Amino acid sequence: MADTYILAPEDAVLLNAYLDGELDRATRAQVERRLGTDAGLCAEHERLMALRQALAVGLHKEAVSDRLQTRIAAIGAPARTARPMDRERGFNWRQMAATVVLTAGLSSLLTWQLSAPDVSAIAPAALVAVHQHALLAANPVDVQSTDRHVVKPWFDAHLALSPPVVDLAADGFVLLGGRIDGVGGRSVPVMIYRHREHLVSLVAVPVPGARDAGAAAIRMTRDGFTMLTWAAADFDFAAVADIPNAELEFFVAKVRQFDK
Amino acid sequence: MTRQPADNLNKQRFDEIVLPHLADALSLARWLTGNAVDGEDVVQEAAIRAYTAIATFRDGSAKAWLLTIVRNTAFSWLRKNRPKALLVTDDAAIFEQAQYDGPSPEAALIAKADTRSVQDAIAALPIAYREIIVLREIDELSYREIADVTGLPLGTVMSRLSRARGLLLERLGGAVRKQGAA
Repeated sequence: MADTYILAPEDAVLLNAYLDGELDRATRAQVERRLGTDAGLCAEHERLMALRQALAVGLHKEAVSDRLQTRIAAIGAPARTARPMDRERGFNWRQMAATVVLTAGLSSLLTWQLSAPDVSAIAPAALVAVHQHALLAANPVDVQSTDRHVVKPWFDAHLALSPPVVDLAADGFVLLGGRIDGVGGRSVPVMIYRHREHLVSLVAVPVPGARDAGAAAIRMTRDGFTMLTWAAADFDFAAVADIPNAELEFFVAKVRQFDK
Repeated sequence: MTRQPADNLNKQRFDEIVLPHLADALSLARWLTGNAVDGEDVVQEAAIRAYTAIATFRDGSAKAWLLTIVRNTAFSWLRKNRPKALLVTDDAAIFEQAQYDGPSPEAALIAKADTRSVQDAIAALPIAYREIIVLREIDELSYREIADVTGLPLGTVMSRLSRARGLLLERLGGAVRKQGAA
């Protein structure tokens, strides 16, 4: 530990900038030449490299909990005011269920407008998780069939819901089947398609009485997955996959075309 | 469907600009407030501020824009809840001395530092140095972006980063030596 060499502060700054890739080429070359001859600079370089290694082991990006993700994704969502320091879940399904019952009784447009939830109010994390479940499962589907006339009745029987099931094999998206997953504590139908070697999950969140206003799908990305969400008749949809955005948009356009 | 178009657009921009950088935001807030629970509160408050200001985001780095808001929110939070954490301790002369005098730890020793020692060493940094380290090492901002987020001149960012790393080397060297002796 008899290292009595004292590095000039400006040399330390230069060395840090060198290690951070912040120097222009000429200055970089200059530092590299000095590292070959200046033992003190070289020793500090080694220490900083060792520090980088230690930080890589000991310092990590914080993981965002589902709870926080939900709270933040709910900011700006309709029919709910985000409160600061709110530790509750961001989206209240019980409240939604209550409004759905209300809508069933009163079919007036006004009631519908007040109660309309939409897929953007659901945490993107929850929808991406649905897709991840499909990827992780031994079998991505609960009912395996390329025939939409098999898949659709299966949902009818298991969920008392009849989401539109589209055959898009001619467009390069082969229907593998359907599965049921949970979003926000509620069972929702998921259609699984195969596109080349990738899976595409199409999640249908029931919104009784909703109509397709033709609004453009909203895109977001999370954990490397791309998700497109849009509102259609009776369901809000989320398409999740790790395929290029243009291909997912093509898929969504085809689904919407059929759904019309 | 029933929302005003402007609300829809704001929500969409918020989802695109803010949501992808929550882990970066939380990391900064966690290290400024000192723990993850307070960090989450700060991130949520910052996200609400970001939503109301979303129209002011133009071009450039969405991450740096969000982190600027997180940093400001965290400092407001600290002023209110932990005023002592903001006591000015960044006397440049003291920290230059801390770095440039005394025995320099060996690189091999530093590389052996465990997670606990690393986190303790970061937590012990004065906040003016800690924020620069976190913005660089976790949030991976460039010097220019760090200067934008903190409102500091580029030269100050560079010297603080250099000093912060010097302090970490000192502390980690000491911690590892102590462990070896025990």
